Amino acid sequence: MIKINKAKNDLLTPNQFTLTLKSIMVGIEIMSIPNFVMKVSKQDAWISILLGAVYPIYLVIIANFLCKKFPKDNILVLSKKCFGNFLGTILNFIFISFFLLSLTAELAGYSNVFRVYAVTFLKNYQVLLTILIPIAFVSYKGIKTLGRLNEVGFYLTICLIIFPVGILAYGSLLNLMPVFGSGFKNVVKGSTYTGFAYSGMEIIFLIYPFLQDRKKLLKCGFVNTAIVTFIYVWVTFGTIFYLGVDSSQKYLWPVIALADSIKIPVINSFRYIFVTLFSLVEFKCISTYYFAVSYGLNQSIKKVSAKTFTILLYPIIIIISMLYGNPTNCRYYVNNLTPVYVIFNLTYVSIVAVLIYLKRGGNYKKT
Amino acid sequence: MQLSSKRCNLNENINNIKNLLGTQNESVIRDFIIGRGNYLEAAIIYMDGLAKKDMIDRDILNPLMLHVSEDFINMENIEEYICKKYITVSNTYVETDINKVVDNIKRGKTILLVKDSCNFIIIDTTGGVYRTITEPENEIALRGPREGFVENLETNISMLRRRIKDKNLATEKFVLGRRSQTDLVIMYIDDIVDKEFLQNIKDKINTIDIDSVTETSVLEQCIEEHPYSIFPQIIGTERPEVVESKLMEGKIAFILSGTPYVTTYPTTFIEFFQTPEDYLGRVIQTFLTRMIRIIAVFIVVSFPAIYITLIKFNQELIPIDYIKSLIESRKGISLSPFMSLLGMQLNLELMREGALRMPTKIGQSLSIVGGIIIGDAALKAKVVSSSTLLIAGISVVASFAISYYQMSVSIRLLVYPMLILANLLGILGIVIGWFSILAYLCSMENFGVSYFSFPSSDMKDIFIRVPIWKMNKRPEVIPHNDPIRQSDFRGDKNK
Repeated sequence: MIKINKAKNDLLTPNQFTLTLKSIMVGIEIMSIPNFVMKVSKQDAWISILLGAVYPIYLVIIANFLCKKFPKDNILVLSKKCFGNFLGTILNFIFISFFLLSLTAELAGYSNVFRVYAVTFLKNYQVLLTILIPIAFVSYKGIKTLGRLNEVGFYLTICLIIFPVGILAYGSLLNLMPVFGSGFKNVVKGSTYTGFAYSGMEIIFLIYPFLQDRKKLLKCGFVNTAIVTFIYVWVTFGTIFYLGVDSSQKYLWPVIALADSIKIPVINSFRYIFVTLFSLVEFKCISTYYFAVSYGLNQSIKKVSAKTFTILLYPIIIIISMLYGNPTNCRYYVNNLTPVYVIFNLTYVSIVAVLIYLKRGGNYKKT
Repeated sequence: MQLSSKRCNLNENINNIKNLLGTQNESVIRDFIIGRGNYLEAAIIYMDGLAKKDMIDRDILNPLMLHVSEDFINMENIEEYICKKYITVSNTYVETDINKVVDNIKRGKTILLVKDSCNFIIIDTTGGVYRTITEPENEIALRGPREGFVENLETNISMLRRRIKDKNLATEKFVLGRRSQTDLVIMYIDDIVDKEFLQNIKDKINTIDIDSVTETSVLEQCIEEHPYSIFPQIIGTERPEVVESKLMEGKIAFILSGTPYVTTYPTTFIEFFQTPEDYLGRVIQTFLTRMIRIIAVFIVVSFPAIYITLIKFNQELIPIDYIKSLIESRKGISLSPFMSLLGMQLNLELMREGALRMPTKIGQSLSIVGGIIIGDAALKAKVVSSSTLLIAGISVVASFAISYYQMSVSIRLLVYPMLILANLLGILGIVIGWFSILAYLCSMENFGVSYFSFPSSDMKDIFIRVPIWKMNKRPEVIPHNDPIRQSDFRGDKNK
């Protein structure tokens, strides 16, 4: 039962919460994730991806623990409590800078893909400047708008996931054989390359106070992880099934090639439509990151509202996104920076959780 | 009722009422005498044209002037006695507040004044000529009732009361407009409606301070939250059964005197794409028609833009056979595809606006001149290519599939920014356009209720419409106090 209550109005329903998490996780990396993993674990890449889901599951469990202890405080507040004001603020900024990195990487990556497949006539800055306007609008309007948008947009994502079903008629199961052929060690090693794909789940630490029914946090997190893992496993499976391990490596974005399995008479290349529809999914992802950054900054510097941060960040995001350059460079930076951040995030949230666990009898309980 | 024993002058009372009514009006004052012997002076006041004269003659004047043989001298509570014994009109009562008396005269009631009394007898003689109940012309359902609301407030309320006999059906009356003093009745089902939402709406109504309220749309503009939004935010209907079903969802109906158009609050975006017919027909048919409406929206907004993108930027995507004929048809045309499409759209817009306002007989010649002659001439004059004309035509035809006129206009307007975006940025423009539309819709709220939101539990009645017996819960987006609509009476076994 929904009541109109202004104070409650900022909260997300469990469904919106789950899909917001899903939105931030599934971004441009879905286009290339099979290649990253396939380098190591070959035809078993899909198993590696399945294993990679451990990272988001761990985050959900920690978030659930923190949420139970401090349902109204996000991690930024908690870290200040644990590490003190100075150290806490510095760590918070590093944590938020991770969202900024992902946001700009997503944006730059999207611009690269879209300029190759759809708008060859546009320059990088033209794409960045224009797409960031509606994205900033969503972030400006706040979490509720974002939640609704992610909920509505999910139906579109389902279409995108279903589209490549056509490949089942063309591929070969032999491409996936032998299962575990690359060795168990490689499978595990491959799963470490899924960092960028599964990152984004960190937003759960920022937004869990927005969930209406906090008891459902664990369920939301797990359902989301299941959805995201399913999507990644499906596209990776599809890529191996349709293209095979070797030819897949020749593509920068092998998943787009899956769209070739659909042929409609009015248009020469279905990739164009696929990339276009994917844009909306990507926009949701960037919007959620954008919100995470501006809201995170607002929580650290309370004097400035999240809306002001949204506006202030606009030029900064454009400038950083322009620095990534071509897809290969972009990937180089992302692949090198992400593991560092993943390790930082893991330690950061774990230490906060441990400190809170240890000091549960202390002063914190009152707040 | 406690009646005062103060003595008032009859003429003074009449003069007071006259002053409050204003001098320039059609009020009728009839003095007469009641009783024999020690007779009693009395007068009735009513407004010509608003009251039923034959009723006044038959049920008030006749018994009082001809059939009273009593002596009223020294009688206490004389008004009540007269009411009870002589006036044969059912809705009759005694009132002390002169302002209420004046309000009642303005609404067609008759006032009886008696000498030396400070009280007024109010007799319901409301009448006047109204349009009879007919089927609403603008909202037609092949199945379903043939009655539609009329301009008379009481008739409209009675139509709804006849349909909903629940004791919790509540009405509340407001008088709006300093000069027009129009009656507004809000109707809701007391144990379904969310009390906070109701209070919110009432507060909003009470803030309205305006000269006159001519139509529900005036009211809507006075209280809506996004005055400059392109999308209509309040839906209305002339069909009582539609209002009935909306009341059952926990909505509040606004019935304004003098208009047959009843609006319901809060409204969500998807309601503009649902018709009463959806609930009367087959489930699968409804799914198809709803899909067609949604496809229509897509076509109206993006077809012209996609065409521009393909022609201008992404010719490589058009299959070779099509591109041959496209080039053939574009030979010798100097206008760019964007300009010719924009021109054609504007021309069609002009025709549509003309056809709407013109009398039907002239409208026919307009469609012949506009549709056939201009279309043919534009092709021959090499202003547009045949494919451009086709795209413009399809987009217009599709806009007719959007059932609600105001929404259809809004959707149509979106074509222009979309065209400009597509002309500048190609497919990226279309993507940005669509994302902006979705983001804007998601950001909208109507009195705290999300305008565009599809919770999974409401999906039973958005794109599809499941059988009525499966809709066990009321829509979640609409605030309500009683989520259960019906029990699961067919159960799982009887599926």
